[in-house]
Amino acid sequence: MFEKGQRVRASLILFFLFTFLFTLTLRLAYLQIVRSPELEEKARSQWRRTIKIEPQRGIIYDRRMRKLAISLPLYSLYARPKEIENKEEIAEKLSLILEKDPPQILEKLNKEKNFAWLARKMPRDLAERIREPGISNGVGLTEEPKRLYPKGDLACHLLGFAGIDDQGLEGIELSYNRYIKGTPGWLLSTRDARGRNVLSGEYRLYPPSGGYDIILTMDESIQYIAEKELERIYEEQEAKSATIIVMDPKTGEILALANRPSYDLDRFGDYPPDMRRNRAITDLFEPGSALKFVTAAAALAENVVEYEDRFYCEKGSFRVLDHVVHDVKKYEWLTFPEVIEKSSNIGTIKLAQELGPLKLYEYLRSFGFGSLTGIDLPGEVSGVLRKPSKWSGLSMAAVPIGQEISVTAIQLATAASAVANGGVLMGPWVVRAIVSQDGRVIKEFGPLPIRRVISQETASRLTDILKGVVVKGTGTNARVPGYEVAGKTGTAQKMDPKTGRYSQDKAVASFLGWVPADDPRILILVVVDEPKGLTLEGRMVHYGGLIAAPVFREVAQRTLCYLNVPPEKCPRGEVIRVEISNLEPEVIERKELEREEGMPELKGKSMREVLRILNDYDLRPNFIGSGWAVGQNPFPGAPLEEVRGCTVWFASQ
Amino acid sequence: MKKVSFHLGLFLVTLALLSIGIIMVYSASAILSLEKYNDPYFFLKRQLAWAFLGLSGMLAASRINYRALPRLLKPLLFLTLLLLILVLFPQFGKEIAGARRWLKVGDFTLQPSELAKLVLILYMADALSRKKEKIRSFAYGFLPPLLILGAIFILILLQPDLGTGLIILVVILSMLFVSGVRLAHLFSLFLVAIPSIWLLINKVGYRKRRILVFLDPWSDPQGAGFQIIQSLLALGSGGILGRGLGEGTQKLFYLPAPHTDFIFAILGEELGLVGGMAVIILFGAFIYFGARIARRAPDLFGSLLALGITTWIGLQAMINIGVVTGFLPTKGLPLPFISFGGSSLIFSLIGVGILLSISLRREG
Repeated sequence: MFEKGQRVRASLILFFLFTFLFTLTLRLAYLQIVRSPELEEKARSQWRRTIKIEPQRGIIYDRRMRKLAISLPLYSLYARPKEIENKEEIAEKLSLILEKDPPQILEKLNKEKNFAWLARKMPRDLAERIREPGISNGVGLTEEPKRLYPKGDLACHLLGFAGIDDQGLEGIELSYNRYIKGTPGWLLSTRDARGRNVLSGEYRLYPPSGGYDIILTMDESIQYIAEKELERIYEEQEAKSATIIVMDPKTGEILALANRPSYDLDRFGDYPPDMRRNRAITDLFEPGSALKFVTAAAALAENVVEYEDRFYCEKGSFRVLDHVVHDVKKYEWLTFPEVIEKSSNIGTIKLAQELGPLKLYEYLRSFGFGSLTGIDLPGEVSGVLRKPSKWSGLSMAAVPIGQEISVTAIQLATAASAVANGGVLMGPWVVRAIVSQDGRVIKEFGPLPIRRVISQETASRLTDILKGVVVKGTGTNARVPGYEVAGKTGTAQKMDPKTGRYSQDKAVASFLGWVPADDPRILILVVVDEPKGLTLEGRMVHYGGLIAAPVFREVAQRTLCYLNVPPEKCPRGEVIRVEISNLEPEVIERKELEREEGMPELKGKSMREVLRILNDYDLRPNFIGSGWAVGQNPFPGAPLEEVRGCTVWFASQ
Repeated sequence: MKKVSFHLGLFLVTLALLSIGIIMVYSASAILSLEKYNDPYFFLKRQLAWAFLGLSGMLAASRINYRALPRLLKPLLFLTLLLLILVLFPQFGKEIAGARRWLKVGDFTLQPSELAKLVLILYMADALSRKKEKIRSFAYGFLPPLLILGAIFILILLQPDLGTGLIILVVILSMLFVSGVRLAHLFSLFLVAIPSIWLLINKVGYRKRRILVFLDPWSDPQGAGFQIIQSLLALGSGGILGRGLGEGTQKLFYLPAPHTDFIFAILGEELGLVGGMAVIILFGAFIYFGARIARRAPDLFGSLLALGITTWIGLQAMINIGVVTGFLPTKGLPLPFISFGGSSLIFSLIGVGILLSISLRREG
């Protein structure tokens, strides 16, 4: 019982209490509504443990689905140093498993960081030992795929490589990285304040999605053939470098692309960047005589010359201003085709004079010189082709014969492809398709016609002249038995940077050609930089016809055989050693075709069918891959005598 | 006098708070007690036992006529002072985090300051109601209770337990205020109290840090600000609807004392603003019912006693929530009926029992 005054005072106390209580509700609402997002985020960063799961990079296949780059799941060991209490003990235990010094591990554990790698990408058996009890606190394993290149240095410059963090760093691995890489996954889990996983808490796995697979235009077998020959000439000639490109001139597809020196993709770190450079697209050289086909093409297209036109070749010595142009041999009168066949500098310069600098420049541009080919590889350079307005008085005695102009190997091969392809310049490309791991086609690429450079007729007339180069000109070493070859040799003296004059003993020897000449399946460019040379008639020479043309011949011969291109005429009794792949070298004896049927055609058949057919022929089967037959050795129509077995390549789709 | 039953509303509110407390103690302590005692029910079992004891005490107290209580005052005051002195000695007092607030009794601990609150309220109500006429004189009305109050207050500060000391101070002052003490006397008391509180805060390092950290918890997130930051993170994570009972993560050793002083943070995290508001509204109802009992008590003693108990429990709840929400500097005070802790629970429930006893004998 209160008296009146007390009642008022009690009410005041009550009022005070309720005011306080109301204030608290406001405070609570402020925290739980207004500041909730910010506070929740802060709390989450405390208790949520996020582990990134690296995706597996896609596989890189050659055009017949042979694996060139794969990813294997490996394990990486990390530490959360702040969560480890018994650091010394853990370092001791890990040192036994990892075979590292305990202080080395302890140093990493002592870092004032939340995260430190202890060992990257170790095999499963090692990883399983770490799961042993007692070293799990603050130490964890995560799956990290490792990139492997099962073919070693094969096509190293084309493929490129991915670094330790699975990031594409060179080649296809770089230019198609965003397709190959995939998206990382996340493992979200709950940790308590002492860093332990709380099983009852949030646990969500967002699995990584693997990258897309890449199917190249490149054919591993052709690549192998090309590299084998390139390697041989590179070693033999002690060259500074060498490059080979094999293209399908009708589509612009790169069938093989290789450089020397090369490197082992699995140990890319052990090689200097100089060896890892894809010289075919990054390095410039003066093409020399190899470029004369462009001068000839322009002259033919512009009708400034007829087959029968004769050029006086000044007996091998022609004065232009204060400069003297020489020919290898002292020619007097040569017909237009002879100028090209014999690769007369003087004849070609006179031919170009008929054309004039503007037209010459126009055709050079049109053939793609001085601009990027747009090949889907990283690091391409556009070369140097100056405008006629910047040409000197001597330029018309240099540019037509491939001097004062710098090109890349890919530019030269692409330009020549235009002639082989009936006058249409095709952009070179290396990736046929991008497919997902479940087989969906993500992107498909096709031939990319850039422009018509010369008419079909001009192309075929030029091809006829270039056939002559191989038949009776400077390129006779490029002859392939059974096939007609069109080609052009190149021997470019290198400019000595010290004297500013062309050197006598440093040259770039090259050969470019295609076969069969009138319906080409392959175009090959061989470039040998600074070969030591060959002795000819008592002189050291660096002729492309002597050094590069034989490489062309060897590669062309084997590739045509591999591609089952029927010979126009079959040489008899000749033994050709064919190596189809580095895994399965085989010797085929090619004898007279005595039986019409010969080796059966297996392409497109299932394994079961192939097995039955081979059984009928009493041949021992040797299968590579799975799916449908895509290649065979011996090739269809090959004679059956002395053939004991048959190797068949299969690919899915 | 009509036959009346005790105040059902207050009883139900108390039961509701007690139930919420038991559930939250389990949720907040399960992982902690599994870790510490290898038994997730360690704290739950004890809380249930004390709730049972407390409820028995409450029902017993509600049966006793509150008018008989002053007869127990002398022995109770003596016991309180004795225990408060004993607790200061290392032989009897258990030191936790630099404070001796708990008496060792076998396996259990007793917090004498919890008893002191109840006894002091009882004493003040008795003293103030008997000296009804003299209350306006300083020497007879104001001074003697003040001496008792001072002695207990100082003993509690020696533990040290400033939180409980302040609760006692405010409750007693409000009883003095309501009973009709001259405002001038109260004001003079403030003049003495404020500088001494200021000294108490400034002299003791951790209190000063608590104040500074209260002003800006993020100034020292790993040190003094840690607990309050973790508490705010818990409340913020809860949002409006909460993360669900048992789903909180702040109790995973992030928030210290999740089942005792900071249980309201865990409640806010798991049950959200909705759960927090429910608790606040229940305490509001408690204060309202308590105030009604005070007004309807048949005598001044009953009124003052009811007012004192209501103010004590209401104020302690509000200070606790104020601390947890970062609205007040950190004090080591449990949330009545909800926080884990035997002494607090038992004496609070006995306090409710006394309120119920007063409600039984209301006038009209």
